[in-house]
Amino acid sequence: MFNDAGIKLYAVSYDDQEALKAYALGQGIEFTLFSDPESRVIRRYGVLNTFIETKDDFYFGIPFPGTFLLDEEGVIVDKLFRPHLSTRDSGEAMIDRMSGRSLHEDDDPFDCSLEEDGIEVSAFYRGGRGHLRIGPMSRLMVRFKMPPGIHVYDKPVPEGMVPVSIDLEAPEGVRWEPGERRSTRSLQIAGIQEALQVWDDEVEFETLIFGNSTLAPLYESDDLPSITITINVRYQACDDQKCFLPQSRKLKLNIPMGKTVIPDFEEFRRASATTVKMDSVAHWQKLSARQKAQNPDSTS
Amino acid sequence: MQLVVGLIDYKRRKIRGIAMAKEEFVDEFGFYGPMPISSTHRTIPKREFPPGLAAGELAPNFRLKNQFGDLIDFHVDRGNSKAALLFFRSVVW
Repeated sequence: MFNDAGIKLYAVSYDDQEALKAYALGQGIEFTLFSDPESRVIRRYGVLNTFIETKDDFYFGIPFPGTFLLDEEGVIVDKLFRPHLSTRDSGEAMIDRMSGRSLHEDDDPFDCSLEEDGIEVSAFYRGGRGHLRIGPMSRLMVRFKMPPGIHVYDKPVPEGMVPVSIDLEAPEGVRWEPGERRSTRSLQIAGIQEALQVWDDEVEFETLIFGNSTLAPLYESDDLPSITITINVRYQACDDQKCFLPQSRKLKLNIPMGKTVIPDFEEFRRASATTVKMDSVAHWQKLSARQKAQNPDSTS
Repeated sequence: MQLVVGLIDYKRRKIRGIAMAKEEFVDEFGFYGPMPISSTHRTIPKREFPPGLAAGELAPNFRLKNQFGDLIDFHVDRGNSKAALLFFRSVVW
């Protein structure tokens, strides 16, 4: 996915080289995993988790998880960090941010609606190679393709008019919130003092979506679970002369669920996850000993 | 590694899956974990987020060992490619 987009992927953690090697071999990772056991680079990039003190020795030195996106010259052009450590952004999000637009690929759940007004409204899911997992952040993209001369509105709009709104119906355990919106252009209409903000031609709207632990029971059955999300899109289209009636479109996406990868600790095995192919206990013990040695004022 | 949870002294504290659903283990996003949400590594930042260097800055160069033990110079290895530099917590836990 990254190769096709011409983006080199690198990762940094406080793990020892041996642990990274075991993980990479077990999981078939082919990109570079950097070992930063003293958190030098983590500090240099300003992402050391400062809530953790040296006395929490095991965790001291970990970063706030996230990604820096660099251009060809090595300049930071964007960064993706989420307040919650579990809801990290997908590879698709990184690629879409770098390219400046989101395009759906073959594996991405997709639905489309075209009506008499000539406006094509489509919805597609971007993240986890078309799968929803407990934790990681994915995106639901809604795209409008409008005929020439037609525009739709951002709020606020005068009373009686309908701005673009996107609402989801999703199972409990699926959380969502509006993400990025493209810039509008200003439109001055005779009789209305404030310029209105409109989109025309082609525009995409992002909704951020993730699954939390409430979804875990879905994995109890033998079949691979999937969820259905209904996307209710409302808008009102106008041209230079007049406005048309407000419209509602209903789109449906069927999204298969995927499993998360967890360490191989007997205590934490669960149906919603697959265990990593490495000796987690042995590596955990080495890491624990190293952290105690590095943080002598620990209280544990 | 994508993991909700942290792990301290797993030999001593055997916390069962069902117990993880108790209030003190479920955070405001609805995630369970074997350590209480009061643990510092489960703290959810509210201010000064996102952290780190700003867009527009040159990414600092560094030399670190990769998973094979080879010392790699980051920008030399990157060459003229666009890159994604991912910081994550651990492959172990």
